[in-house]
Amino acid sequence: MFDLAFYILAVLILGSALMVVTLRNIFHCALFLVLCMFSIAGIYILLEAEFIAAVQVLIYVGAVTILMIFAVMLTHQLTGKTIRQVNDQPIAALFIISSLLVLTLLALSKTTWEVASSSGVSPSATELGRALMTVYVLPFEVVSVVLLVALVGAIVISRGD
Amino acid sequence: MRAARQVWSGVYNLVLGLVTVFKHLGHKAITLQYPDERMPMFERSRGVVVLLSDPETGKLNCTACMVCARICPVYAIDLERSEEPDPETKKRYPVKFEIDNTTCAFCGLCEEACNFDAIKLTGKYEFSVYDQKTLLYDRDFLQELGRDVPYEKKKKPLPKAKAAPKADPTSPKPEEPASPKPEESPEESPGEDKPEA
Amino acid sequence: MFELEGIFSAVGDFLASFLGAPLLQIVSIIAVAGVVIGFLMVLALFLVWWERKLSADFQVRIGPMRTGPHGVLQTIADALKLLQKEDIVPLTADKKVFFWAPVICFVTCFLAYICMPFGKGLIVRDLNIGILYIVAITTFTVISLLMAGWASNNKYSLLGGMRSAAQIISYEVPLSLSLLGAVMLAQSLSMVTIVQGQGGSFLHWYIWRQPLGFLLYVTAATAEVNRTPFDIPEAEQELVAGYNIEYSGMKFAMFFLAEFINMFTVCAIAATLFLGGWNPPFEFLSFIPSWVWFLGKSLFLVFILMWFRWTYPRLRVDQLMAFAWKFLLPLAFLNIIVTGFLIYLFE
Repeated sequence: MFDLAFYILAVLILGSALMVVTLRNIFHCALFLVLCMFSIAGIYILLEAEFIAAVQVLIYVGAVTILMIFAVMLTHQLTGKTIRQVNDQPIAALFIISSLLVLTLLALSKTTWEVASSSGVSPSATELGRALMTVYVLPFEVVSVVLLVALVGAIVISRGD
Repeated sequence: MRAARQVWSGVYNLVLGLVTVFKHLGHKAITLQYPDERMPMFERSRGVVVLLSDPETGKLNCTACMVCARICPVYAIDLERSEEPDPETKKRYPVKFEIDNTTCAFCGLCEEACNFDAIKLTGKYEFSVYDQKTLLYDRDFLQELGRDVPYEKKKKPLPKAKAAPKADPTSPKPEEPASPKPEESPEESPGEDKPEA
Repeated sequence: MFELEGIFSAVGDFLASFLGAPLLQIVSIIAVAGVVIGFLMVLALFLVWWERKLSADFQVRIGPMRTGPHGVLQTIADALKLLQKEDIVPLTADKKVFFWAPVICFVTCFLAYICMPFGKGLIVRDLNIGILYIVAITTFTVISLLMAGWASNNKYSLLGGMRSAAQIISYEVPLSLSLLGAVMLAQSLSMVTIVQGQGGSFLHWYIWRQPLGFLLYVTAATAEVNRTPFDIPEAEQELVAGYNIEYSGMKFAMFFLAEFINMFTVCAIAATLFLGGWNPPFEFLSFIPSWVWFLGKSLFLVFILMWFRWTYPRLRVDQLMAFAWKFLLPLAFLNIIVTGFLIYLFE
C-alpha cells in the first residue's frame, strides 16, 4: 500500500515536472507545476510530515503558482502563445548539465550519510513551532525580516517614482 | 473621534439594513401563484374583444353597421352584413364577424365607436395557443365569450324613427365636449349623433 | 439517543464480520466517502432550495412551489434538467483545461470534510493539522476558477476568474489569521481538540473570547465563497456570470453545487471554531444528538450569509481590495496580538 502510493506519487511528480519543461503553452506548464507541487505534498504526507505537507500546499499551490498564473494571464504577450522550449545552444547546455551531474554524483558518493534515528526531530506542528520559537528564533526572525524587505522593495519598485 | 463616529455610523447602518430585511421574513407574499390564482382584472381593463348579446333574447346586439371595422386602426375586424334583417328583431345582423387577435392592439376604439353595446373589451388576457390560426376568433366564438360578460346599457336603443336624434333637443352639437349633459358622459353624445350621419 | 456514531460502528462491525482486513479497509474507505459525498450532495440541493425560498421570503415572494411540497424537489428537477442538457464547449476553448476545471472545483470542495467533526466521534479522520489542512485544500478552488476563466476563452470569464482569484487570495490572509485566535485558545490545530476545548455550557464557546476573530472570519468567509456583498467575480451587471459563463449542463451544475458546498464548509468551520461545534449550549440539552447541534449551528450561519446576500449591495473592486488589506488584515493581526497577550496574562 505504502509502496504503491509512493510509486504513483513519484510518477506523478516526474511526469508533471517533465510536462512543465516540455509543454509549449505556458498556462498548461503552470497548471502542471501545481500538480507537481501537490504530489510533493503527498510525499510529505507519506513521510508523516503533515504540517509540512499542508504548508507546501498552502504556499506553493495556493500562493506561488497562483501568482505565476496571474503573471502569465496578465502578460498579454504570453497568454495563448506557444513558446519555444529549446534555445540554440544544445552543446553548451549539454556540457554544463553533464559537468553538474558528475559533480553531484561525486558529492553523493563521497559523503558518508548519517542515518537519522526514528526519534529525531518530530515533524508535528507543536514541536516545529516550539523549535522555531526557541532554538531557531533568530533565523526565523531573520527570514521574516528578509520577507519584509522583499515586500517593501516590491512596493518601492512598483511605485516607479 | 471622527473616525470612531464614522465606524459607529457604518456599523449602525449595516445592522439597520439587516433588521429591515429581517422584518420581511414571514411576511405574507404579495405575489400570486399565477395559474392557480389570478388577479381580479379591473372593470375597464382592455383584454380580449367579445361580442355582447341581449340577455333576454340571446341574440347579438350587433347590427353589423361596420363602424367598428372602419375605426379599427389595424384592420383586425372582418365583418360581413346580412342581406336580410333578422325576422324576430327586425335588425340586420353580422353573418361573419372575425377578430384577428394577432393584430388587435386592444385600443378599445371599436367599443367606443359602437352604438349598440355590441362589442366590448373584457378583462381576459390569456391568449397563449399552440397554433397562431386559432387566434382568429369567429362570430360564434366571440358571442360565446361575451355570453356572461356583464355590461351596462349605457347607450340608448336604436331609435325607431330616423329623425329621432334630431328631435332630441338636449343633444349637443357634435364635438362639443365643453357642455356635456350632467347625466351623460361625453362619449355617449357622438354615439347618438352618428346614426344620422 | 440518536448518536450516529453507534450506527456507523455497528455497520463497521457487521462488515468486519465477513470481510478480510485489506478488503475491509477499501470497503470502509469507499463507504465513508460515499456517505459523506451523499450527505453533502443532499445538503447542497437543500441549500439551493433554501436560498431560493429564503430570498423569496425576504422579498415578500413565494419562491418555488410546484415541485413537491413547497418546492423541495425543485433543485432535483433542475439538476436533472442540467444533466440532460447539451454539453457545449466553445470552439476556441482550451478543451482539456475546460473539462478539468469543474472537476477540480467539485472534488476539492469535498476534501475539506475529511477532518470536519460532524458530531461526537463522527469525523472521517482527525488530522492533527485539521484546520490548516482545510485552509490549504480550499486554495484549489482558486486554481479551478482560474482554469475555468482562462480556458473558456471569453473576456468576461477571464475577468471573472481573475477577480475571484485575486479576491480569494486576498481574503485568505485575514481568514487564516482570524482562525489563529481560536487555534491559540485551543492550543491545537485538530478540529476535535478545538471542539472539546469548548465543552460545557455555551459560555465556553470561543466566540465570547474571540468576538473580533469571529466577525473577521465571517466577513472574510463571505468574500472567500464569493457571496454578496463580495460577489465581484460574479457581478452580473458587468460580467454576465463571471468564470462560469461558457459552462452549460452538468459542468455548470458542478460549479453551482460546489459553490453551495463551499458556503456550508466555511459556515461549518465557523461553527466548529467559534460556536462550540457539536457541543450543546447547555448541559441538560445533551440528550439531543451532537450532529444535530453541529448541523443547526452551521445552517444558522448559512442563514446569516444568505441574510447578508439579500441585504447588502455589492462592493466595488477597489473597495473590496482596500477592505481586505487595509481594514481586515490589521484587525486580524491586532486580534492575534491581543489574544496572545491575554493568554500569556491569564494562563
